[in-house]
Amino acid sequence: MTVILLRVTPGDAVDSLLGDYASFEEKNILRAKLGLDKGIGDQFLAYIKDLFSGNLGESLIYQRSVLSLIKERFLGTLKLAFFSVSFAFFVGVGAGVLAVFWREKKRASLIYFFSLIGVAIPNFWLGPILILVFSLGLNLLPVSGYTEPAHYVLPVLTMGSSLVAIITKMTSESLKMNLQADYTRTARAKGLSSLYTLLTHVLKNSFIPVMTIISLQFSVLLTGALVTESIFDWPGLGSLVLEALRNRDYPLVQGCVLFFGFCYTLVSLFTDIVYVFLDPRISLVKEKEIF
Amino acid sequence: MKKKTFYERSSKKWELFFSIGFLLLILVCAVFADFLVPYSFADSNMSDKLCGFSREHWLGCDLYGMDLLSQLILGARSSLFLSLSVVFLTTLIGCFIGSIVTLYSRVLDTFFLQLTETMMALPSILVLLCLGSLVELGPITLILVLSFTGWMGPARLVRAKLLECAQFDYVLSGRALGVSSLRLTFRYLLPNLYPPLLVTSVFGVSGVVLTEATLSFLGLGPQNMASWGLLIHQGRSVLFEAPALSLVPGAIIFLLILSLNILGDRLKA
Repeated sequence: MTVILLRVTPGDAVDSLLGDYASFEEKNILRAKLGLDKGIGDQFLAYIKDLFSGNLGESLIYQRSVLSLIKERFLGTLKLAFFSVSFAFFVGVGAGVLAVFWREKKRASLIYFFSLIGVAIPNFWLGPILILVFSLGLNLLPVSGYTEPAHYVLPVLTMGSSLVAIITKMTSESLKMNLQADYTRTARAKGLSSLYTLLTHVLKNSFIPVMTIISLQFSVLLTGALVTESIFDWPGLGSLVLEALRNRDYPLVQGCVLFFGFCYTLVSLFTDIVYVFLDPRISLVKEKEIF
Repeated sequence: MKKKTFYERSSKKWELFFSIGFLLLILVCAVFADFLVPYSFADSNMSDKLCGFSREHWLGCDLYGMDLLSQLILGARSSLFLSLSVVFLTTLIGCFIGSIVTLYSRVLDTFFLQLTETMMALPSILVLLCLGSLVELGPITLILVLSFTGWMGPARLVRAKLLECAQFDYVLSGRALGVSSLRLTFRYLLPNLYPPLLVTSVFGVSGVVLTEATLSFLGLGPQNMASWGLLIHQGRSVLFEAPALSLVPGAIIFLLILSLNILGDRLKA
């Protein structure tokens, strides 16, 4: 699908490679070299054939294989995404638990208020604000770079903020639902403290919806990576694909999009597996035998 | 008896006032943009480039000497136009497909469930990335693409609600009177769906506003349209010299999404 979408383009890469002054013949020669002169069907077949042998083609601008470019940039995005998700997970679950623990106090509405703001704040606005406040105003953190731990703080905050808010909301809602369950009353009747019950009994049972939400946030994360990497000049896949789009570097865009799709599949598979560990009642294989 | 939580006890009226007030403000700006705009595009003056807040230009001027306030007002119009039409289209398509699927065969229904699941799994930003590279995304193309990637939510909602409502007695009595199933769906059942559809629409609008702004911010959105995201995109290169250029449009987007979310939450409750 990507190939078809990308190749029906009015302006093509040949123009941007050779510039306006190249002669018509020169352009045709390059087109033939890149296989752009064949029909869409042929191109598609050739691409699928290459795909199965692990060949994603060669970037038009970098003159290197797409796969090696993706490999090179992938680690940057992975680090950023990993830290953002873990940050969001711990802060979000923590805030969710606190919101429920303090549910009769004024502090809880403060948490609710922050999560409302967190959901609504666009990360392309938060990023520049963070830069202005922490780098320019307080001179605490560097604007861009990716080598030291300090470089991670602002991008991770930018990328994780909306996730934190979503996870907080989901955790507290899920906890509240489980609070009314019978086993909670049993645990309290046994004499366990309310915080202990919350952390050991209720939280464990509330993880399923939270996990679902996290895995569904893949597209939020992807968009977040695009925006964050472009704000902080982060060397990752997001900035790679944006650059490729600007240069009309089709093979590179295709490769990246395919790779994102692949990651998405992996994430959903991983969530399904984690479900089984979280809740042994869910079984991946035996479903049919029960009925 | 269950004690009410603090959050449920507090009245939160000011939140609702704020959100409706801000939405009205944006709406007025969008509808009467032609009368409200202090400076038109033709009035741009390069000598005013990057000027700060002043009495002539309340919010200053951008890189090309155009008045920021005017651009924001025009941006409200395009933003609202875009998001409302996308939400209108998705709801329409959703209602149509959702009711067709419940009305007719079970085979279609299974196929529908599979299809929507697959399509929802596909991050729409990927489709937009592909398309953004091949055509200059105009407003109309953007509306079509966003509708195409967004109709599954409303459609699934309509299907679920229709199946739920179909068990009520008035449906049975309607059947007994010999009402055709088509009429039954559109006259008896669909009116039940207005409240939940309204809620999803409100959240839908805020989602589309955010998507459009993000695309424009990345430089992939419509280029020839006044848009808040595009303003931020342009203002980013002079973030340190003139922070207001990118921060003010961002604040507007933030407040708009915040008000829509508050309104949606209240409608849901």
